[in-house]
Amino acid sequence: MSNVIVDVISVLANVFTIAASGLALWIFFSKRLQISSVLKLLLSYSMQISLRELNDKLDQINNLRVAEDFEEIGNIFHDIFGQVRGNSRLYREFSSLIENAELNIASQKLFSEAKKRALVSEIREKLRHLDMMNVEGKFAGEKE
Amino acid sequence: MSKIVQAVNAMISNKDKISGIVGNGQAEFFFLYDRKHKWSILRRSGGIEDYTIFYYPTSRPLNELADFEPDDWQDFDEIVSYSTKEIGTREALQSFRALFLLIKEMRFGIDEALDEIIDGF
Repeated sequence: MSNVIVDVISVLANVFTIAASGLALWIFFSKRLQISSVLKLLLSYSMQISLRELNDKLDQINNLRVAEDFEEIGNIFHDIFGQVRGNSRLYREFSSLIENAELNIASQKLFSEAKKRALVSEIREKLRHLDMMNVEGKFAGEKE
Repeated sequence: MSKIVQAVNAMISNKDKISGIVGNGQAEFFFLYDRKHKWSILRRSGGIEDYTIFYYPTSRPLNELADFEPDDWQDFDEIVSYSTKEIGTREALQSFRALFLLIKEMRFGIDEALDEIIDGF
């Protein structure tokens, strides 16, 4: 008698297992667009945060003057470069800009308020462009 | 080969004519060539390496130039600069780098220190 109960339970368990995995497969195949868009949304959100942080740092630099705060300007620029280097998608877009910028801020003798503004504007414009691509889902969603 | 690169090579081969080297603590060394021409050489590094050589057609003494605050350069006109990044050739980079190293070694007396080691002093 007890054998029959065990058999029935195991058949039921197998049926439920098949049903559950079938359901999972069905959801995966029928809703894969939704699932991928949720993932894209998460990626795009984290990219949004990075871009906003970079913009905040640029604002800080804009408020400093080369004549008085050159060292601090250099520090924040390096902060930006470090953040960009740590993000493969950003680094792809910024690598050549960073090389030039690093050289520019290496010596105060060859740096000026005008150059600082040019650099800040260049980075800001590029960020804005990336932000637009991000909103359209073309940037964060793209494959590595 | 551009004239400035030739001049730098000449300086390297006639290093006895280099005198009065002073640093300003910011990777830049000021020096006299042939006891009258005032020069300085500055190293900048980032993703790429750059050397800039400055010539000063000025009556101001070298020490005064070396004591300039970084901001003072903005309004200073008696200065001509040559940068390896602007020249863009590999030979310019090699020559300027060699001169920078030479000046730095002369400034800190590395040559004598190395001689002492080699001669087993």
